Amino acid sequence: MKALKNAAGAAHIKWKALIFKALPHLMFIALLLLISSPSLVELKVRGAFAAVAVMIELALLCNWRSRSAHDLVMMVFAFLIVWEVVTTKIPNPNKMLFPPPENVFAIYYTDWKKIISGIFSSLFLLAYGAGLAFVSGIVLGLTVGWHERLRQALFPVAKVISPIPPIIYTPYAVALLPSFKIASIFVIFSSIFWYLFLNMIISVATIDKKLLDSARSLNISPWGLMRHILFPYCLPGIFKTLPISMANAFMVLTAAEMIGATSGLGWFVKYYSDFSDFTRVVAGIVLIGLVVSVIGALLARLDKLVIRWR
Amino acid sequence: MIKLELKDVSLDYADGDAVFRALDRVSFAVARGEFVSLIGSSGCGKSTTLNILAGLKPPSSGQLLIDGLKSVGTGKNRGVVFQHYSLFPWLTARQNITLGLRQLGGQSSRELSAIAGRYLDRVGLTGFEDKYPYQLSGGMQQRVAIARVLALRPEILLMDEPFGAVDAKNKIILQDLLLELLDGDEDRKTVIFVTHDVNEAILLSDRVLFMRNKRIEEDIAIDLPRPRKREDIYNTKAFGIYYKKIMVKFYQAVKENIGDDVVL
Repeated sequence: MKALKNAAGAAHIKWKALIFKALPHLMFIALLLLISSPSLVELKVRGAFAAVAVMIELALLCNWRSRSAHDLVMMVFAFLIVWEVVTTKIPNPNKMLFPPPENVFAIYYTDWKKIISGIFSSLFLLAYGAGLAFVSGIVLGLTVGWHERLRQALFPVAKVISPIPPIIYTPYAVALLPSFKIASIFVIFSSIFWYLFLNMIISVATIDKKLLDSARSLNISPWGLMRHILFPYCLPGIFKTLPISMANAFMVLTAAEMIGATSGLGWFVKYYSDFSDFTRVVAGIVLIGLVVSVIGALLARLDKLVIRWR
Repeated sequence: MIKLELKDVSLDYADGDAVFRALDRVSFAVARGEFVSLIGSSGCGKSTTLNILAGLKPPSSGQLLIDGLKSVGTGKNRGVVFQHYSLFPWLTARQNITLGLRQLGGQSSRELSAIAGRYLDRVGLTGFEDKYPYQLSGGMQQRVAIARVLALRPEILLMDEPFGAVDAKNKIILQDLLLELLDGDEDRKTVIFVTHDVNEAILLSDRVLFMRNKRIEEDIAIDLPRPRKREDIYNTKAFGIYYKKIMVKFYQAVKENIGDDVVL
């Protein structure tokens, strides 16, 4: 009797789990049906939005074992369904302010040239500024952190400058510096450099003395000490601050683009808000979110690849 | 022949306005090929002595002589093994060894890598060449540290409680390994070994220096034949006598310190 009850209970749990597992897929089908059903507002292209939904579904099928992927996709589909219903299936209070998802995703199809060049122009500036900041921040941080007199002189300077949010002097930099490129590279540089420099000084100065003794007993050269001891010692810390640094840099860059650029992702959003073309504005915002996430994911990959000694 | 000598060496360090003495007029000489242990309780000055011998700390007064010449700073003639953090966590076992070797210069990285492999082999770590320290047990890490220091072929080996953080079984394995490596060397290395383990000191040493209160209090010669084997040594009457002699020194230290504490 008891065994039967247990079996019934197990079957019940199994049913629940199965429904739960199927839910995102059912939501996917519902979304496709919604997209193909008649809409109250005029839609130009429906295929782009449908393609996005299919891509999300495929991504879930590739990670079908992962519970968190399952939950995440469920949330995304729920959001897309709500968006679709609110903007196209019930009377839309303001077609300009609430663009339907079909039209937003269609922008990636119609404006792809502008979008690709925007991504590249933003990433170019980001790579330039961030590259400069990392090389100089690491080299100077190691040198200043190691050299006691330099450290005592420059540490207070770094401490005062690093907390100033670079976004605050972005408009001034754009006005002051001869070209927009130089200005945005400068603000990206300063958004990363001071924080990194400060952190490097602190971690070099607080390195375990036993590690240093071990290195000194090997008669290591000053260059070898920098290259083989201090630098790898600081590397995990650099990677820890990297995602925050890059997000900050991206924020500053898009802000600079909104002020002075003629291309780039920040410019794209600002330019079309001036025309109240909020379909393109929303498309730009979603795109910026995607680009930042992809950069973050790549950095996490890189972290795992480089720091193998944990 | 005297290999190294400390002459009237003291070390003071300042903490704010107060000056503390970390080492108080220590003098001793070590013959070439001799194995000398520094033993004593924590804070007696034994690790400080080793740091001065390594050149990691300059003495406040007195001299360190190596081969009769005054020595300042670290040198290629000395290699050090510490209790902790001997290895760099970001380098594999092999890379930890080649980093040291590279400082000597003159060899290609392929040759260095081959040398590192040979020494890892000698300490029984074949197959672990490309493991990072976190992937190795504490005992294995100390083997790598020993391989690293031996690969540098120093004339003097300085060891600061190298087996202090290793469990009893691995301690036996490592002590036997060290005996075997040293006895197998025709050109015997001069070794200074810091420990607080009495068994270990007798088993390994030709002489035990008992330190107390920043000074050397007694110089005990361990007159046991070499090459040594643990089983043989443990069964000799002499071992028991040495053991008792050193333990009595510890006991006295305890008793007298208790006397001091009562004043408080």
